[in-house]
Amino acid sequence: MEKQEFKDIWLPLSDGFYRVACSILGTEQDARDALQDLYIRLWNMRDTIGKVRSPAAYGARMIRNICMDRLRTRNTGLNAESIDEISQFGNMEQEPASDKIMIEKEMLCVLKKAVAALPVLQKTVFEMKFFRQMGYDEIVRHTGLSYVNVRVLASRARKAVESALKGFLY
Amino acid sequence: MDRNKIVDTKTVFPENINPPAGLGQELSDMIDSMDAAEKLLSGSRHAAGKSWKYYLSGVAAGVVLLAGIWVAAVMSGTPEDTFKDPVTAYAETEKILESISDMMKKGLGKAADAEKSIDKNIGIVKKLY
Repeated sequence: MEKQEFKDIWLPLSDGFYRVACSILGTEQDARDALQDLYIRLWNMRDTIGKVRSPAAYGARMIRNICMDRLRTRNTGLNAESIDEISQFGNMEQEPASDKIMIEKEMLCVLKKAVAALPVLQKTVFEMKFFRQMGYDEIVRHTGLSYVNVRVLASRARKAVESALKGFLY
Repeated sequence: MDRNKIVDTKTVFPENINPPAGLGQELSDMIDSMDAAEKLLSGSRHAAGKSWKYYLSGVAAGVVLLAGIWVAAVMSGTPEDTFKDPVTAYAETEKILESISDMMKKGLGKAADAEKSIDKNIGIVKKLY
């Protein structure tokens, strides 16, 4: 599934998922973290969840499970009855492992820092090329730089960011 | 909020909670980052794989070159003569040349017949026009 298609299907549901997370976890920060986890999982599964008939229901179940996991690990003193109720919701099929989510979050953090550390022009060109997936001609039109200059800036930025991410390569 | 009570929302989301402003944009930016990181990392992996292929190709090309040099060195000697006696060799050569000449005569004869036939047909066409 392409990025834009993924966004078109799943982003409009983010407010609803946030409300579910907030109603279970109680705080905005926890709900945002849970939502981030959810979207990382959905993104990593995007090739297999293309045929989901009801993304809202699917995502709601996932966010509930994520929230329950957080409550369990947080050890907020849930009683036995509640834990039985939690287990009713069961496990989601084929979700990415929690450690993979942790690695993904760390990688995003490293990426963000690496991009922030780039010189201004390199950062601008990098974001246009790799985040907004603009073509070189389009970047030239937007920035007013020469074609060669844009390519050089993109190449340098890419190498710098790749170097920062090399720990995640293997 | 009572955390002991599980909220079974199904696809009906609670209405009384307002999501923070900019949440959608934050998630969109995160998706852009994940996509960019994936492309960068897959590009690096591909480049590393490619360098191995270039290395192996270089080795293979070197082996082929060495084999070629060896074969050339072995085969570069003067070929052996097929006949020891020059008189016999001359006679055989004459025989071969005669048989080639006979074949050429037959071929030339057929070409002459074809030429006659073409001239005849050209004559017919000229008469029509």
